[in-house]
Amino acid sequence: MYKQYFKQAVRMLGENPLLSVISILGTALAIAMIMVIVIVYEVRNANYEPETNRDRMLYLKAGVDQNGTGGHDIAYLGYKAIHDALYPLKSAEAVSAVCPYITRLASVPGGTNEFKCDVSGTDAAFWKVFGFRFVDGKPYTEADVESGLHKAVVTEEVARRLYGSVDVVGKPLQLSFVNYTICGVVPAVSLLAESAYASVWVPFTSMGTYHYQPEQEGRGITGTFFCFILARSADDFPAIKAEVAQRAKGFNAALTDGHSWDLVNQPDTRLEQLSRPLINVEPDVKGMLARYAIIVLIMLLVPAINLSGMTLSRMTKRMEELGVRKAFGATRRELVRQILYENMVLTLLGGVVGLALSYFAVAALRDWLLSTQMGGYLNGATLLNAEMLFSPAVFACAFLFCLLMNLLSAGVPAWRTSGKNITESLNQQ
Amino acid sequence: MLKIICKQLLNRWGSNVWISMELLLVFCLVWYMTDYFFVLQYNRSIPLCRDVSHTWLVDVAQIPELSPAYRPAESDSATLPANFDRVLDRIRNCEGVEELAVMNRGDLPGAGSYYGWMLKSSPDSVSPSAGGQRICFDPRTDYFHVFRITTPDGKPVSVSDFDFSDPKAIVLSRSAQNSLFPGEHTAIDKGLYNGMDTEQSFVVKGVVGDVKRFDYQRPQKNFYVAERAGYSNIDRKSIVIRSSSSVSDARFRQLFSEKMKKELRIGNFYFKRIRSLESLEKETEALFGVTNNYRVRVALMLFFLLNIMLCVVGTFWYRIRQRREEIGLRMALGSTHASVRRLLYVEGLCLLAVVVVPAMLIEGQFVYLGMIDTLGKSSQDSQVYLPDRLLLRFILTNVITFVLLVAAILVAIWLPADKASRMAPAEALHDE
Repeated sequence: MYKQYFKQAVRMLGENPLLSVISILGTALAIAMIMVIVIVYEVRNANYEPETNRDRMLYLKAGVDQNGTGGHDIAYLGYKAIHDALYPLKSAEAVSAVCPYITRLASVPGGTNEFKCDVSGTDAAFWKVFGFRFVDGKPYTEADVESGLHKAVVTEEVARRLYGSVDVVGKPLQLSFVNYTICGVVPAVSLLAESAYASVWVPFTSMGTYHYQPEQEGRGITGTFFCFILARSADDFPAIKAEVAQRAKGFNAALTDGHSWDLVNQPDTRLEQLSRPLINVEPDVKGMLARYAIIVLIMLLVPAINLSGMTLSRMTKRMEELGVRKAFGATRRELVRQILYENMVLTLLGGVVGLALSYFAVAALRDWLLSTQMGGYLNGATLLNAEMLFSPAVFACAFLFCLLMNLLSAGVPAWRTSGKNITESLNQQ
Repeated sequence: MLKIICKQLLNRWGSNVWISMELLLVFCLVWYMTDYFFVLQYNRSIPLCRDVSHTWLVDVAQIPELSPAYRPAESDSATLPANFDRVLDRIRNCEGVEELAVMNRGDLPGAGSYYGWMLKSSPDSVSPSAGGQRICFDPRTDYFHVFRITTPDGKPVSVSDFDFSDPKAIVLSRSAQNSLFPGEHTAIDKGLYNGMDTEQSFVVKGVVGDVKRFDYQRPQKNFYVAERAGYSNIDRKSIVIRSSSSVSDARFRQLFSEKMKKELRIGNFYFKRIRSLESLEKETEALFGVTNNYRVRVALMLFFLLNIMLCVVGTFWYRIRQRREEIGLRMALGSTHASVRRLLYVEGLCLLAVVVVPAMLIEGQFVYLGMIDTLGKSSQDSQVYLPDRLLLRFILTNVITFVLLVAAILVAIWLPADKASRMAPAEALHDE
């Protein structure tokens, strides 16, 4: 029977090419737009190298220093706050402090070829929190960080620009007049992995007092750091958040000048972090998801109304056929099913075209669609890979939206035409 | 003709329901987007009283103490400022550099940081006050000239127009003057106080035009104060320059970088990079989400317009197939190709006209519920701008939406109308 429906649907496609093209185009356009949203959402949220643990990570990206008289100072987090209150967290698997987005001139010592690169100062836990794949060498260790050794992990791209090959472990590197030794090489990191992103990573203890001040005078609430907390599983988030709040209280109790460290409800989950427009505004995950839902709904509804009109016109022409079927005993349910199945052929065709279009759009317009907030400032590229784009979730979503689209665009016409009186339908000619 | 068309539309109401619903929905959605673009474009059209084209941030850094190349004697309290002055001279003398200024890093035009001040015209609590952005620069350099700041009536100003030898000197922007000294003819030589710390006082030395912090915003209040660059504050200062407009930006950047790489290696200073302030502003707009909001709306707007076009093409294509006999008859009775085409165009526009009023009623609910934003509106605004006049803005945005949809519908009907007008009457009538 389904074969029959399929054959009929294909015949109808050829019968009125323009209307078929319009139907397929309408569906394709909607599915393409929706899938672009889904893909962008996936790229921002899913786990992929080197941010392989996004689903069990918590983020603190700002330090807010309340001065006790109503004023406040917002900057990155200070080292002292991380050292005193976050490193000792017992409920977390690992805690990493990162001093991100520092522009340095990279060169081979004594060489003339200088180029700008983005440097991150990190601790050793960074390599545990993020899942980097080492092409050669290995990361610096906790002992290296403690001793402030000048070791560096570089991307393949930096290695090639410096030495023309990726075989660079043990070779020297100069970062804005400071000498380092390369200890590891990793693949280039996309700007989309904004937490792990850099092109050179060094122990933050080697970066000088502007960035890292172990004996920092004053409060140490604000500074130059991000902090990433890796939980054993997402179920531990509430316990970790409670422990952070508890330790921040202890940290504040030790301050005597009326200032206090305002967590502004950090640490954030990945979604909370994405839904914070500004650091001192509460994250609104529900609001963000609701906005996504409204946009997707509108994108389904606008073409669905359009397609409903066309489906109904097509059905009106087939009234006699439906009348005959009914006269031979087809129930209304069977007729509705037939119309929906037939229409599904059109919708799926549109869906496939739409999905292909969305991949094309994401690839061609990646800087436009996926630009991260820091994108313009940094020197890297918005790299895309199959792991980010071709996840089963994307295909499942595409199919689901096709089903929804089909139901929305053929549901009402199917119900209305199948409900017509037999004599009226048969009488049409 | 209009009467007949209306009658026909009514008679075929069943088949017009879908297209009308689609038009209604799309009208409201396109209006919502149009409103955003209207406010944005309006803000962008407000004169800047400043010009960031051909201006650059010259990033000069100091070699860290950890480096073997670091020489402590070059960074002591006497040598460091002297070296910095030499850096400034070299930059000033570089070919293509028109003007140079040294200013606080946090006050850079187009940057994300903002240093706010609340000033009062007298230390008591009831006197008029004004909040705005403080901009601090070295008075030995010409900030006003680099950014082509003008007086409120558009005359260029220079740092030498104001007496910055007085350590309390301050220059206000026009709306700051109006708020702090309402009804007074001039603010020159009048005193001002820091609202958070009334011990700090100023003397007004001049008034310039209001400057927008970002191009998408409205003009804001500014307070210009002076501070010389010295040993204690050099690491908080930025060097900005204006390049000659006769050299292309790309060429200037290349020449400047090549030359300065060699010449700015003075003491512990070295040249890191040069960035255009226009690109800095774009980066900040991206950082603040403005770029993304704009892109999402452009994409949605195109999507809606494309959909309405597909809907109109489909519906009218189907319609002329159904009405072959009628069109044939009209042509047999003397209708020209043009008049058949016109008939379909008018029919499409009538459908649009029908949905305008209900659409405006729905949009009105959005406005009533406060669901539309006015980009750039601030409590410190010194005047009422067009987007604040809600009724006028509502009418204007609806007119724009109407025109957009008329254009979309006319383009979309073109294909079916062309087919209809080419119909041979005999063939069409044969269907009967």
